[in-house]
This record gives sequence, C-alpha cells and structure tokens, in this order.
Amino acid sequence: MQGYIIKRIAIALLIIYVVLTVVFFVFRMGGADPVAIMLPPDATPRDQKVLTEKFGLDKSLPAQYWIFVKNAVHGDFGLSFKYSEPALTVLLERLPATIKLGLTAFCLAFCVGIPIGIISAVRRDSWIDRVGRVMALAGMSLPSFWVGMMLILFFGVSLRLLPISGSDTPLHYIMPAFCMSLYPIALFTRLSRSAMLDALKSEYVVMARIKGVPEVYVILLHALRNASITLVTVVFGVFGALILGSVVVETIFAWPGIGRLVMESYFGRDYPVVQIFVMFVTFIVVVMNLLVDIVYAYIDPRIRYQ
Amino acid sequence: MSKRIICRVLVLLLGVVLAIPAVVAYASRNDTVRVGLRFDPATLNMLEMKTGFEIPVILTMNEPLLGSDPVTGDRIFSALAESMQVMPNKKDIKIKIRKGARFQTGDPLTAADVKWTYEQCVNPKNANMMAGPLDEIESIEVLDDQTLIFRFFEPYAGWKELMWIGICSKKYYDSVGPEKFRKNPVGSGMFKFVARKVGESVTVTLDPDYWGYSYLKKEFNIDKPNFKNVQFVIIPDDQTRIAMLETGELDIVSDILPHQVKQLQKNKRVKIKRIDKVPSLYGISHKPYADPIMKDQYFCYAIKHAINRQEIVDKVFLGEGYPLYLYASKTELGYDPKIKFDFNPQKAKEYLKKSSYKPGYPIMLTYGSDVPNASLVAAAIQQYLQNIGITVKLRQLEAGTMATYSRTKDPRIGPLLLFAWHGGRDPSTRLMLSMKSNSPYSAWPDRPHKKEMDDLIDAQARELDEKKRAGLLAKYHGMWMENPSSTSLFGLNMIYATSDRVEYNWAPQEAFIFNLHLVKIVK
Repeated sequence: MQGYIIKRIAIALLIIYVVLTVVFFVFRMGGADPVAIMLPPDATPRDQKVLTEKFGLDKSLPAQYWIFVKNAVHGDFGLSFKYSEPALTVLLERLPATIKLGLTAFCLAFCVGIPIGIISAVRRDSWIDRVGRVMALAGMSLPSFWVGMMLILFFGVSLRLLPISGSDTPLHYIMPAFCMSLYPIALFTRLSRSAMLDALKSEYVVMARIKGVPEVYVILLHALRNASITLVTVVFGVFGALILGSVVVETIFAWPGIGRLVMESYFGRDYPVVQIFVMFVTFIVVVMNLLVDIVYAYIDPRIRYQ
Repeated sequence: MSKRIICRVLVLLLGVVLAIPAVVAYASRNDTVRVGLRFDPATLNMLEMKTGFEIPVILTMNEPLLGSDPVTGDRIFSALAESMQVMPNKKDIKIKIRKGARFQTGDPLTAADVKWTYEQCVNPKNANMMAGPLDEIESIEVLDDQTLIFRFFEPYAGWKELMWIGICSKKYYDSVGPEKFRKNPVGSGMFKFVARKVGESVTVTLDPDYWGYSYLKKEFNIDKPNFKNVQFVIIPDDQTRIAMLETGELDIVSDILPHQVKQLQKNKRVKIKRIDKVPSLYGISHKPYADPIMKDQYFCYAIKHAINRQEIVDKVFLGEGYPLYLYASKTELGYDPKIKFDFNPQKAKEYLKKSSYKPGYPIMLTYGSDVPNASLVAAAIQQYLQNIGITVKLRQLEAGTMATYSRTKDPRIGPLLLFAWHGGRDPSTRLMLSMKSNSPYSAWPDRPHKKEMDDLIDAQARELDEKKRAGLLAKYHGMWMENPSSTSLFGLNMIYATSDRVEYNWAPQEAFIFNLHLVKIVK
C-alpha cells in the first residue's frame, strides 16, 4: 500500500506540472492582455508600459515560463496582478470561506441525501419514496442561480428571516449552503436508493434475513456496506467539488470564496491567481481519487493494491 | 425529565446560539452606513491605485488637496488646502497647506508629504493609474512645511484634475514598510481604516481626532457625521445588491438599472434618487483601421442620422437618459447641448447614396459584455442601420478581449464598436490620448485637417481662461464633426437608492460614490 501511495503521489506531481504548463500557455495565448483590462480607458501608454514591465509580461513567453517554473519550485507562484500580493496568499485568504461553506453544504447533502435514499429503497413505492424521488428530480433540474434568487426573494426580502449576504453568523450559511447542496442531495438520494435496491435484492441480504438478523443490522451492516462501494466515488467527488467553491452561489450570495475569486481573476486575466487555483483543483482531484482508492480497500476486503 | 422536554430545551438552546451573533451584528449596524459596491477594490493603497473602483474607499481615508462641492460638483478646497494660486508664468501652482493638518497617526501633514505622495504616484514600481496624467508636472518644490509649488512643463488647463490624489504619510511608510502600508493604510481623512475582508468588505471608522472638523463647520457648515462606521460591502450581483437594499442590509446602492427601479418603488423603505449631472457616455467608436469605409464622411453622417437615440433611451433604458451627439459627456467642459444630429432616415439614405458604401457589404458592430443592455442597444442600432440600407452583423466580445483589441488597435475589433465610458470633467487627457493624430489610441492618424485639429487640442490644453478654452473646444468640435470618428448615442442618469434610515445625495459630476461624510442617519 505504501509503495502504491508513493507512486500515486509521484504521478500526481507530474499531473499538476503538466496541467500548470498547459494552463500557462493556453491562458497567455488567449489574446487578452491583463494590462489593457486593468487600466482605465484614459490611461497613458506609459502606464501601460510600466504595468507590463511590473507584471513581467514584457518578456518572451519561454522566458516567462522559465521564471514561473523556477519560482514555483521555490513555492513562489508570483504576485497577483490585481491585489499586488502573492497569489498563494490571495487564494489562502479566500479558501477558509469556501471550505466552511463547502463543508456545510456537504454535511447537509450527506445527512439528508443518503438517509432519504436508504429509506426510499427500504420503503420502496411508499409515500416517502415518492417524495424522495420528486425531490431528487427537482434538485437535479433546478439551476442554482434560480434557486438562489428565489431563496433571496422569499426568505430574505419577503419574510426577512435570513440575511442575504455575508458570512459572519451561522444564519448566513443557511441559504448558500442549501443552494449549493441541492444538486448533491439529489445525486446522493438517487444513487443511494438505486445502490441499496440492488443490495437489498442480493443473496447475502436474503440469507441474513433467513438467519434472523434484525432488519436494522441487515440494512446498515449488510446492505449499506456493499452499496457504499458505489457511493464512495461519487461522495468523494462531490466533496472535492464542493470545497472548490461554486462561482454561481458565491456570486449570488456575495460569498467571499475562491469560486468568485477565480471568476474575477479569469476575467481580469490575473494569471498567477488562476494558475494557483488550477494547481489547487488538480491537487484536490488527485487527493480525492487517492482517498477513494484507500477507502475502497477498507470497505471491500477483496481489493488489494500492489 | 422526559426525552421530549430535553429535545425542546436543546432546540431552544440551538436557536439562541444561532440568534446571538445575528443580534450582535444587527446592533452594530445601527451606527454603520453600509454601501454596496460591485467590485472589490484591487488595493487600498493610494500610491498603487490601479482603477477607478478604489477611489470611493481610498478617498474616505486619504484626503486630497481638492474635493468636490456637494451642490455643484465643482472642485473646491478640501480641509487640507488653504489656498491655491496660479503664478504669473501660468505654469506654476502655489499651494498652501492648512496649519494643523495631521495624519491619523498624529504626525503633521506637511508639504513634503504632498510632494512625496505625488512622486510615489509616478514611481514606475507603484504602477499607479495617475502616473501618465501626472507627467504634465515637471517638478514639485517644497518652500516650507506649509507651502509648495507644482511646476508644470507648460501651462496646463486641467491642473485641478490632478489635485484629487489622497495624501499619504511618508513617515508612516518609512516606519512600517510597503507591506504594512498596503494592508493598514493611513491618511489624513475623516475616516480611519479598520478592517478589510478580501472579497467581502472594507470597514472604516470615524476618526474622533480628525483635525478638520472645525474648518468644515466654519467654511461649509458641515457637521460631524452622526454615525460611526462606513462599511463598503462587495456584492457583485446586481439583483442581490438591490435585494439587500430592500431588506436594509445595505444603505446606499448606486448604478441601479432602470428596469430595477419598478421593483424598488414598491418598497416604501427605499428612497430612489436620480441625477443627470454625472459623467456618462454611450457611443459607437469608428475604427478606420479595421475598415477604410469608416473614413467616408458621408457614411458616418448616414449612421449619425439613422439612429433614433431618444427611442433607445425610452425603450431600452425606460427614459432614464438623454441623447448625446458629441463625444463629450454632459459634465465635460466643451459639452454643447446645441449640437444635434436629428433622427432623419431620409437624410441618412441620401448620405449613404453619396458614400462609397456598396449595398449588402457587411459592417461588423462589436459590443462588450460590460456594457449594460448592450445586446438590446446593438440590436436596435442594427435595425436602424438596416432600415437605411446598411447591412450590420453583430458580435459580442468578452470585455477583456475587447479592451485588448481596442488598446492594441487590432483590426479584429471590427469597424464599429459599441462602448460605454463615464468620461470626466476635463477633456484634455481624452483628447491628448485618443484624438491627436500622433496619439497612441488615435483610430485615425491620417484624418483630414489633422494639423489644425492637433493645434487646437494643444491650445485648449494650455489655455487657463475657461471662456477662451471653451471657444477653442467649440472650434475643435466643429472640425471634428466634419469627419466624425465616433457616433455618440446617449448618456444615462445615475440612479441610486438609499434605505430610509439614511439621507444622502450624490456628488454631481462624479462617476463614483463621494462625500460619504455628508451621509446622515435619520432613523
């Protein structure tokens, strides 16, 4: 297992390097100039020249790339063009807000979606199953920007129950976390329902019931453990996606997270910030996949890595 | 105790725990004026200011030499400057700093600080957006702690537009270094920096020891504000900003779009205001380098007479604007309301007939994603031009790409470009940068009468007498209209709204929120 993990980390580093290289060149060859975007229309050519030199954009592309790689090896990913601070610092300043919101949304999705899916499967075709299926369909179909606006108008403007934006109090988390968790709730509900239905039909579950094992143990220990193999990949994937932030939710609720940061940085062509974000995304995806593999081995004793 | 009672107690406790921070946050809001901003300021450091979006925040902390008259919007002395005098050679401006002026650190604000601030703004390492315009200044001489002279290379009519820079403390910069200076800005203004949550808010608080209260009371009858803090809240989404104003989470919101007014009017706790004396200009820029047809004066006249500007204002912007015919916004010196290109399709067709345009030849109209209602305006223009026989193709470009094409004179931008620009008060920088034949952004360097027009641009920039200058500008605009290089469309009113707990009036002639010290909490 140790050898496998070391091998995976080495591959992950290679993937991060390749992705960063691709992003570095593709972004710069896109045609838009960060200096032109940043400066006001009445800025002079001198302003433009000064800023171009400050950002190091006056050098050739290979020279810029060499400087980038050389500095990145030392943990320096450059200064944000917009904030004049290290890109890593800019990202880390926004990361806690995103992680807190992402974790809240994930907990909500996990605690609501999976139990509903399990109950729906166990009580198939009951009213709770029907409600669960309708909720799942709605959660998958409704776009988050629309849900967000409706939540704001209803709970914020009409009822005045919840604050619309900000991240100071637990109340501030309710609407954005719900909005963000809507799709994962639906996904978890559907997946856990179908996985549990398959598991409940299997011979070992029938055998357990014949042996007289209490129904709760049959469901939780026998059926759910096997159904969770299907769920693990999706759950970790969703967890990764949620802690990477959501551009739409963060924009609508003015949440100061990295989703909004990366969108603003993209439109402002703030190369260093976008690059560090891409690196972070790649890192999270790689880590989540690694975790999925490790958890597989724990859940299913038949799986062994060499 | 039964399980039910335990559950109820737990739920109650949870409710209290959730409610306490909300109550605390609400209570602290009573002495805070909350202003909604669309963009997060790139920096709070005056010396490194990159865009105009930072101005409202920075100028609450860093006092400039000249402020803005709350009634007329004219440049007036801030508390800082006691006098300004144009010297007989017309090139030098002598400025006297008020005695007793001091920074929030307690250190006196001297002429040396003013000189240092201006020098830092042109220092290439700070990449300040004002570096270019400040190039007009040859040197700054400090005579004593209260007196300094700005020496210009030549007489410069737009000198007042260089005097709004917030003054910073050299001593503080030297003692804390650039990093801390950037994170904890210090000025001599009425408000002190408190905290910044990147991407979320910037909070400033009233400085009880602000040195200029008595002066403001004496000269302008301005009282000390009756609130403690100003919080600038960054809300990128227009609809969310409006919703927050409705719920009272924000007190002041600007740049409200006309179609949002109806929604706000239903809310009795919101006061909607509008002002037309603000810089605003929508137009179509002609790009002869993308297509030589744009050099054809008859073709350009045809465009100007083909578009019903008033109809666009009425239907797309619900009447919240006014037609513009000159490339100068309503607040710019030289703006002339008498100049008009009437909407006359017949006349437009006659001009088109005289032009070199071949029917069916497609003309590209490009518009950006940053112009409000751009797609509707572009579609309307397409229809007007097609009505007189010009085939127009529309193309939307992402704002960043459009800015780059425009700045680099890339022909891919197309011959017609729909733009929105707030413009300003003084035309000099605009004319010098985009209209002079040898200027870097000139779209038409070989235009007819270029020598005479260049001379007029230079002459107006050097003319300190406002009446004479207006005459030169009128002459210039007359020549420009013979071969127009743009089609101005309209300007828009600034629609802003406040919650009913505050009273605030927009500073005329300003494109951004100014004079926040004049806000009054009335409820």
